[in-house]
Amino acid sequence: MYEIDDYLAMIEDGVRTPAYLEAMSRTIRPGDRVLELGTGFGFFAVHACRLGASHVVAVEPNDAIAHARAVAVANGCADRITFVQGFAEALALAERADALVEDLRGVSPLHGARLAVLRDAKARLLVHGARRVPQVDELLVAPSELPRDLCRLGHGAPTRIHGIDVAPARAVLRGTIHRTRAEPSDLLADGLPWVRLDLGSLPPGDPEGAVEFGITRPGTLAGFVSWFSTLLAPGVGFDSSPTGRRTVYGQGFLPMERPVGVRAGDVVRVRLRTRCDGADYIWAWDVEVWSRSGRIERQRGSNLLSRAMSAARRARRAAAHVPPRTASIERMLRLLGLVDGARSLDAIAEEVRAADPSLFPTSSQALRWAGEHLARLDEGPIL
Amino acid sequence: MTAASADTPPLDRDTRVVVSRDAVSAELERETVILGMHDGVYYGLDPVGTRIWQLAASPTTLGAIADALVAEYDVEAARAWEDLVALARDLIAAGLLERAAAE
Repeated sequence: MYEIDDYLAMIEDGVRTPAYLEAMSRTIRPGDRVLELGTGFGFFAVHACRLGASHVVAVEPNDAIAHARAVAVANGCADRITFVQGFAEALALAERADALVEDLRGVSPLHGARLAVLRDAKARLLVHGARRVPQVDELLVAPSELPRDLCRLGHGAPTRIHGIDVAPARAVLRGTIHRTRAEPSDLLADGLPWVRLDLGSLPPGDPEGAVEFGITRPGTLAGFVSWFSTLLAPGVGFDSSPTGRRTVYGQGFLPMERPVGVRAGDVVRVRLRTRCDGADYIWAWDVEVWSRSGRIERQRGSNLLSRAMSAARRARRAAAHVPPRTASIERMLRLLGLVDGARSLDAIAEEVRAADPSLFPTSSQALRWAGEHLARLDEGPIL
Repeated sequence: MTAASADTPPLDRDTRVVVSRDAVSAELERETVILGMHDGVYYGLDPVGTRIWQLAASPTTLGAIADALVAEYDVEAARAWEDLVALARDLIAAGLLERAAAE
């Protein structure tokens, strides 16, 4: 989860924010109803008001939104912004919005369930033909040596630390997509786009694509640097390329299982596939390296290992699993049974405490337990 | 030995199989989690299933896999074959295991 400092860093980014502000000025018209997804503390929502929006609905699941109203008051537009803490999928609007502003990306445009959120927003929350910022995201990759800030991925990294074998934990690093700040000198070829996302008309399914590179210099292929280019509005955009201006996004790094020595003129083919599991993306990258004499390497990588649950957690989510009525389940059933639309949380907590005095020796503990569990049900979809 | 159903061609000792390019897998706690990238469905393999999955990483015959299981585990050949064919049939139906071309 982001902290206020993270949101401020995004706003202070000298590439991203000026581009977004310019794109919004070219997109939002006076009188527009605007929907902003991922508002943070309301910066772009305020700007939408400055551009003449009649009303802004600004959505954010993070507690940073608690400070958004104060920002709106400080800028004289609190009467035109409705801040909603929660997930967009749980949002209902009395009137659909004329324009959408969002930056739900992480390092990659494929972050969380962003594409599913945008499809849902188009279907339920936006007028037909709604204007939007951004409009298009393009994903690019380039074959690369190991960036300096990821040296712990290197095969020379120690497998014993203070005498303790950590090799099984290190192995997970090769099944992870890492955040990095790659240097242009890391790249073994220029980046190429592998998928283009028209954010106003996303096709069903998850992004995939394939590219072929001609290696431009000798080196050690350790993986692929990943970044994006965005068109926010006609004539306005930016990218998070390692060869361009530094942005808050950085880049991603998709590691090879084993590094491969390459020479200028070698060909590297990579097929990228993604699959959203409801909460985030699983990526798979199939790599072939060809020299003039033929194929010299074939590898597959994915970030599945870094997202794999323990066996016990998986088992509890399997279709054939029969959940036992444990004490925890009984306690939860009792809690939900106390919600009748009339009892206060305080009264519910007292009943909870009376039923389990050893688990809840104080009223405040019962109140905290009951409040957290009920609030979680109320604050957004369970992904 | 052969095994056949009305829906699929028979699987016999000479049937060559290989892990599908649509399958992404990770080993964790001696078990294997598999995600079918074509359908987004997760599957889990127990330790013996994990060993079968490892053996099918490169094209091989079901007979070779069965022989390896008999050599590595305390199991009779007939039982090993029966369990292997059942798993292979399920994995092929799920698109996670493919029949490989003849050598």
